[in-house]
Amino acid sequence: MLKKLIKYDMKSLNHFLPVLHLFVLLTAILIRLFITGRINPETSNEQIDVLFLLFFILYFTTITALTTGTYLLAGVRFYKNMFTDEGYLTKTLPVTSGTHLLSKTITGSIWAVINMFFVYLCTYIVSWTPFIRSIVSSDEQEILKELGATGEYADLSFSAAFTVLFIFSCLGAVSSVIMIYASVALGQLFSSHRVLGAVVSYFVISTVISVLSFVFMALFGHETRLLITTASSAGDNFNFISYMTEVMKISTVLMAIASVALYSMTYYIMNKKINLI
Amino acid sequence: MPWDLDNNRPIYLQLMERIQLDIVSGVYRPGDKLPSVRELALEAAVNPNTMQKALSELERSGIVYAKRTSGRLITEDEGMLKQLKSEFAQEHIHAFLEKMDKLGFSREEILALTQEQLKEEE
Amino acid sequence: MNPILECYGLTKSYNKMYNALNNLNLSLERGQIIGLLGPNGSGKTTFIKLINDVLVPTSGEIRINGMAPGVETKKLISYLPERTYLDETMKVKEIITYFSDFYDNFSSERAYQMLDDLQIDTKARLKTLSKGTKEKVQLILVMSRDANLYVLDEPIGGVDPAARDYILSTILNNYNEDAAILISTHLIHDIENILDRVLFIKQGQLVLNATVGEIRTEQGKSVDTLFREVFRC
Repeated sequence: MLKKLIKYDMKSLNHFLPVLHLFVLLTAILIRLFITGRINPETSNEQIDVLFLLFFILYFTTITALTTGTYLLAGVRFYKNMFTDEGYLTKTLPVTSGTHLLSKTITGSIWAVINMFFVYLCTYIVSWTPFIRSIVSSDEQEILKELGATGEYADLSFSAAFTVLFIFSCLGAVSSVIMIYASVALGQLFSSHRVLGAVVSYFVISTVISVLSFVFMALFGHETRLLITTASSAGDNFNFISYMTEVMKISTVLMAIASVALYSMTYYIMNKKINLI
Repeated sequence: MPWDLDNNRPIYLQLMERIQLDIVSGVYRPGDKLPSVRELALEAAVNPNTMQKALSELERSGIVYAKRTSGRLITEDEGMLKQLKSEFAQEHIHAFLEKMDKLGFSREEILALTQEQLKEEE
Repeated sequence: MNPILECYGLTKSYNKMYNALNNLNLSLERGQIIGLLGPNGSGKTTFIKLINDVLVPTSGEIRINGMAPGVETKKLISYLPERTYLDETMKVKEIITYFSDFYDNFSSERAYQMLDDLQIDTKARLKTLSKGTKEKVQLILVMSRDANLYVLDEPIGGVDPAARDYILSTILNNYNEDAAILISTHLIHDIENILDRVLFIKQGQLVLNATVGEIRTEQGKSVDTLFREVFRC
């Protein structure tokens, strides 16, 4: 049953998302071919710099819109399929709510990861021009050393760093999907303003998680030299890579805890508090 | 088309009447097999249980009898069929006489009018 | 065999002061077509939602084939809600595949046959169909299942008289001794003749549970007439 649910959920998301992503990919390629690819030191002047900046903003906006759109569509699918008139069909299928939630979470996560991949890919296409590459490669080791690729991180390369960053981003993406579904579920508890309830819940959950993250970091900061003030006062011992690695580790743990909590809450609401209008 | 039924009277009685009428008027001949409960219910647009009840009552009256694997058959008892026919006729005549009485006709007048009408319709 | 549906003290309240359904006790036997009758807001829809597990009771129990509402009961129940519950971006034939994927007791042949009878284009997207046609599609899907309990909420409400006859025939065709058909409707006059039994619900309570035969024999009136008396405004 789970496989069948996944099949239909993917079908629904596949109505728009593939086209949108390919469109953005195309845009990225065009930007690379006609704009960023043509930037080199000789041609640099005021007007071209401004143009370059404008297109970068355009690119950035497009990517943000794409990502927001992806999450929004996943959230809307969850809401529509489970909590509106369609819910009368979905909820009367011989399938448990838990299976429904799992299916939606899996398909939402798949697209969140695909989206993240496209974001990285498009950014790579747009910015990794021969010009940029020539600047960076020649000083790759220098830059890495400067960032702190020493000691245990001595063998780090750019590609390895980006891979780790990509995986971390994907975990964040999945976590976002779980958070969106939790907001939708929470919104259902406000019987007359379900959509508004969902939006408000989203902001509340985000805020709570941010605050908890900050508190968590502050508590553990003194242990792992994370607080910048501490680091800078201790002299030039600030190792960016080491700092980022610690941040990522702690964030991952926090995200995992938050995701488990939110997923459980969503599951509970779907099981105990269902009331289709 | 669903059978024409009056909502204020028990359905099974009306179903019985309709089937009896069909038997008397020759839609079903003596010895004919009746359609199944299901088919009749569908035709009449009534609940199969109600049709079942009607048929059981008809069985009790003897007009219809059940043969183990072949379903229900119309009786071949000519006498019984004749009697049923006369009963129908009596009812209609009685109803006719009542109506004519209400209109104020005497018995002789009724007879005369009836004979005239019969001649005309020939 | 055991009754197909039983409730004991079934109660649902949405807030402290108001019980949508109050201490409902009843038992429905198989092989019957039952009418669930009552004015808007009487609790009919709440009852139907409870049967289908899209609502959780406040207290009391409801049992379908002896089981509490859940995955197993959903396999046995075929439900037609009063609203359009289909994903309108799908085509008719995709919906048939959908039902066939999730329900073992769904017959695609029967569904296609009925769609053909009513001349509905299986390649059409649901979005493009008229409201009446969408309702017919939903009814066909529900009646193409070989269920133990059919729950039909206003099945003939929005359709023309000819389609109505067809729908009533379909309901009678689906009749079998192992199943019960529960029909909730306002159009009592049109449906009386196919009902075995009627349930009158008023303000969340069961005020009448009798066979149509009993009503007509003992009270000498049609169910429609009795309804108007009982629920006089």
